[in-house]
Formats: sequence, C-alpha cells, structure tokens
Amino acid sequence: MVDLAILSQALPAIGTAAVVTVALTLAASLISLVVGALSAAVQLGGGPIGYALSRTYVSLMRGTPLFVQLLVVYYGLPPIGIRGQAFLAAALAIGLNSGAYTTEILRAAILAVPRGQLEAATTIGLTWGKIWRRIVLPQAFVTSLPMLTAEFTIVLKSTPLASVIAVTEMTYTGVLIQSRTYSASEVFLTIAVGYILIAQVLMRLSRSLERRTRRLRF
Amino acid sequence: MDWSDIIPYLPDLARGFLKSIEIALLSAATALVTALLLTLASATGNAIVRAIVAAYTEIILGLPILVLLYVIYFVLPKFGVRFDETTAGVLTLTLYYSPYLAEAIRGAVAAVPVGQVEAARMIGLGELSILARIVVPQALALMIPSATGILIGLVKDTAILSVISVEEFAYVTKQVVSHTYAPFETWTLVAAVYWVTLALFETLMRGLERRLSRFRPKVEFH
Amino acid sequence: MFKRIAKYALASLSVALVIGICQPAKADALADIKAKGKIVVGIDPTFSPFEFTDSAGKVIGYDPELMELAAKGLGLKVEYQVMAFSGIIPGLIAGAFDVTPTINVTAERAKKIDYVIPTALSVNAVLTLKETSVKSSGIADLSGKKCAVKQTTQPEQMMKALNDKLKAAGKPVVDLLGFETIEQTIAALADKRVDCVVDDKSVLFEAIDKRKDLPLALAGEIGDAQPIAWAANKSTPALTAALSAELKKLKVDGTVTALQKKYFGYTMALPETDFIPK
Repeated sequence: MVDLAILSQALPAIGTAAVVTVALTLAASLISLVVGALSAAVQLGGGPIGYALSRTYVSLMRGTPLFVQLLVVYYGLPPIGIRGQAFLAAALAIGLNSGAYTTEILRAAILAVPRGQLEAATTIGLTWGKIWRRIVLPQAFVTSLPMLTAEFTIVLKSTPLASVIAVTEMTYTGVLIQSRTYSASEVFLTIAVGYILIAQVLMRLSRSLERRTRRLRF
Repeated sequence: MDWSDIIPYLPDLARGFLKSIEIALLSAATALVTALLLTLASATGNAIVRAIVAAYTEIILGLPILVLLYVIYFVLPKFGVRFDETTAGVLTLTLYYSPYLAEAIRGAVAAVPVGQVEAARMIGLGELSILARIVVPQALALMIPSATGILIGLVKDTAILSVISVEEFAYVTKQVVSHTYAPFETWTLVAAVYWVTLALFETLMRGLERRLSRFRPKVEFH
Repeated sequence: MFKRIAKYALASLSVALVIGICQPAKADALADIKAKGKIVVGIDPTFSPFEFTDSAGKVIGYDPELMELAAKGLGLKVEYQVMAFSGIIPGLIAGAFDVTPTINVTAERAKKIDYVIPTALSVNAVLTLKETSVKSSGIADLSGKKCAVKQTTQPEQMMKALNDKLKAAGKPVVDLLGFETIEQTIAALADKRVDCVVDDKSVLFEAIDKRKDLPLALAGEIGDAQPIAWAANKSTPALTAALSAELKKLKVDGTVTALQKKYFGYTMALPETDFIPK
C-alpha cells in the first residue's frame, strides 16, 4: 500500500513546508503569550474598563471561527499595511486567537499565587510594579507552563488554516502532492507523523524548561 | 456589503446550525464520559493501562483533528471497519477531546486540598461519601473554566464534519457562499451566530461555576 | 444576561463593519497592472488536468499555460498566489489578486464577479466501479443510488437540480455526498460508501489513469455542457476585456485547440458571447 517512490519524491517539499509550519507556530505562540499576558494583567488589575475589554476580547476570539478571523485580519486591516503580508497576517490572526486562551490560562495561574506572599511583599514595602514583575508573573508563568504548552500545540494544529490566505504550510503542501499523485495514504501519514514529531519537540522543550524553573517556585 | 443575497438561504443556514448543535451536544456527552473513564484508568489502572493512556494523550496532543477524522473515515475501511459520516464525526470529536477533558478533570481533582480529605477521614467519613460530598462537588467547580474552553473548541470543531459531507453549519455556509459569492456577508453572519451561542454557553457555565463554588472560600486578587 | 447578549450583537456588527472596509478600489486596474509588469493569479492547483503542480511545486496545467500566454500577449508576467479553495472566493471579492481560473459560469455568480470568455466546456460524467449496480448514467438509473461529488461545485449543483426533477416525478432522489477533493470522492467509491462519482469528464479520465489499482469505469455522460471561465473582480472591467481579447487571438491561431489536445485529449468549441446562463 505504501509507495516509497512517491514518498521520496514528496519528502523535500514536505520538509520545506514543515519549516513554514514551525516558523508560523513560533511566531503565533509568541504573539499569543505577549497579548495573553497583557490581557490577563488588564483583566485583573485594569479596573472595570480593563476587565470589560479583556473579557470581550476573550469571548470574541474564542467564540468566532478562526477562518473568519484570518479573513478579517488579512482583508480587513489594509490601513495598517498588512495586505500582501500573508505570513504576518496569519501569525497575527492565529496569535490573537490563541491569546484569548492564554489570557484564561494566565489569569487562573495569577489567581493561584498565594495571597500571603502579596501581603508579605506589601508589608516589606515593595512597589506595585515590582510585585507584578518579581513575584506574580514569574510564578504564574511557571505554574502555567504545562497548560501553555498544550495551548501552543493547539496553535501548531491550527496553522493549516493559513493556507486560505496563501501561506503554503505542511498540510496544504500535502494536499497539492496528493492531488498530483492520487496517493491514498503515504503523504497523508507522513504529514501526521510530522505534526506529532513537532509537538513532541515542543513538549519536551517545555518539560525541560519546567524542570529548570521549578526552583523558582515558593 | 449587500445582505439581500443571503436572505433566501436563511432557512438552510438555520438547518445547518441546528445540525451542528445536535452533533456538539452528542459529542460533548460522549467525550465527557470517555474523559471520566480515561481519568479513572490512569488513576486506578495498572502500569500498562496508565502507559497506554499516557501514550494516547501524547499522540492526540500532537495530532490535527482533521488527520484523526481522515484516519477514521478513509483509512479504517481498509481494515474492514466502516462508520457512516455522522458516527465517524462524533467518534472523532470524542476521541480528540476526551484526553483534553481528562486533563481538566485530573487538574481539578488534584486542586482539591489534601487536608480536607484527611480531615474527613479523621472524623470518620467513608471513602465514598468523601468522594461524593467533598471531592466531586469542588472538583466540578474547579474544572469548569478549563472545561468551558475545551468545549468551546469542540463546538467550533463540529465544522470539520463538513469535509465528510455532514450537512452542518460550515457545510451549508460553504454552499451558500458558492451560490451567492457573498463570502464576507455570509461568514460575518455565521461568526455572529457562533459568537452569540458560545457567549450564552460561557455565561451559563459561569453561573454554574458560581453556584457550585458557593461553599468554597472566596479568593480575591487586587 | 440579555444585556450581555445585546452587547455581543453590537460588537459583532462592528466586526461586520471592519470587514466592510475591504473594498477594492482600482479605477484603472489594467494600467496599474501594466505598470507593475505582472498579473497576480489566485489559484488552488488541485484540479488536474486544469491546474496542478509538478514535483518541483511549479503551477502547471491547461489554464496556467493559457494564462501565461495571454499575459505574455499583454506584455505581462504571471505571479501565482497559491491558496486553499475556501480562500479563493473571499480573495477574488476582496481584490487580493487580479484573476482566478476555472470558475463555473452561473447567473447568480455573474452578479458578483466578471467572467472572461470561456476557456473550456465542462461535460460531467458518472464514474463507477466495474462491478456495479448502476446500469447507465441516465438519471432514471441513478435514482435511489448514492453518489459522491465535490462540494460547492457545478456537478453538485447540477445533481441537485436533477434531484428536484426526480422529486417532482415522485421517484427517489440520488443521495449526494459532498467531499472536498476528487481523491476523496474516489476513496468513497473504492470503500463502497457510494455507488458512483459525478464530476467533469476529463478530471474523471485523469483519476482512472492515476488509480489503475482500482477497477474504475465510466458509465457515461450526464447533463449539458457547462462553460468554465476565468473570473475577475467587478471593479476591473478593462482587465477582463483585455484578457478576453488575448484569448480570442489564441483561439484564432490554434493555440487553444493545441492545448486542449495536450491536456484533455479532445477539443471543444467555445462560445464567445451570451455564455452566461439566464
């Protein structure tokens, strides 16, 4: 059933596309982390307006299809000069979408920082900014690492949608090859293994980071 | 924007929407049950069972849901196992989302303070009533935020059933776009319907969380 | 709770407005394109022999070759924007590219997009396994059977229209299953999920050729021939007219016929006027 000739011919193209997939995953995850941290901070410490803004952002991004968000970012934002920049638009759309989930993850982790620490920090006269930077955010980041990793594997798995705005990533490359070769399963299974491998690398990196940062806790 | 073109297709869109909701409810129920079984298996099973559950979870975390659907629908028949379209779709959503939900359940159970369980044992409560009256009620409240996020994902992922010709919301939407060539109007409407539905779901879950956590000490962060 | 829902509804309206911004506004697109020296073609090259990719990833096929010749006649190079099909219609309406090939001509779509003169006539056919219960490609023999089609395509819409006729005659309809690619429709046939596949005849010939491991057979043609054309944004009529003029030249000098023989193995006479159905 497996035709090795098709596979060896297809591998270079799939490999090139895998680089696009990884780059898009990293860029979108970074945007997700930055936006998610800001949104969580604004939600918890930004007063009623900050709270409402952050909640609306989370609900909008989680509640509408990523496909629509991609179209809105790519075609709806020409004033900021994103038209024609398909990769940038895809990273931004996927990153903003994932940022909503990151907000929720970080919010829960921030709320889990023991209150006693905050009281102690206030008592010894630490400023508000220092409490956030040195006590709250580092701990929240460390406790939420497993959840964040799971979220970034979801980012990895949503990158195929970028093919609708002309980013030729791994899945669409597979579709192109399949429609030329009519191969039933070779290309398809190769790509599945590709995603599992990329996710494994991501999860292993995260676990080693988790081990190294554990000493920071409590 | 010209909305008049999509008016004749509103009944079709409504039918697709209801089909999506039906599939989402069915899949959410089966996924929750499977997640519970996975949690129990990894909590009480022997080392081999635990290893199988762990490997399964790792694979699912790395596997795009579309790939899982293709395997179930297009590859399994080569081994003599054939499901119809809706069954294959519900099975895919169940297999894909149950490890995520199991993770949420595990996290919630782990977050119930051990001290409470120990205290309950001290005052002579049986294991079953500890589970029923202390662990489960609190764990339910604790798992709601993460479970809500996961179930929102499940509702939106019912759209993948469109690739195997289940006439749900996304399938009908694509049909309407191909007739009217009004993609922006059609998708805006569809996105708004998704948003209102899921916002309603979120609100319900928050209410449920508040109700379930009324016995827990309130933690405020300022 | 209802206040909250009202708030969401209001916010979603603003999303609609954001999408509404994207209006392509090019008064003289042809001059713009000529100044840049290239025409941008949005394409989903998964439709052999009309458009596909070679092993190096280059876009090839009947329409790309014709498009490159027409562009050359205008002194232009072709730049492809390769994207999945669900991105093609939004891209065309938003003006993300100048033209896209291989769009079935329908009256409803003609209200939203402009068509260049047709490049092909699509004749649909019925594909079955060699051992089959399907007696012929006549709609009476397909009544009550299961058929796979590519979703949102003209063959699917044609089959739905034929189903309406069957319904009116009180006969069981053809149970249609819509998939995303032609390989998937063939896989459904191979797994005996369906009794037949309906698509463009030249595409089905290609499938029979590529899947020699399967006992595939053509049961015959079905329905009338339908024009297929390149589509452009409504805001660029000068470009549409210029491409039509170049295509006419390529028809006169025999290039179109030669390409049809090369890619389809047969030739077809193409209409130049009144090709949009009423």
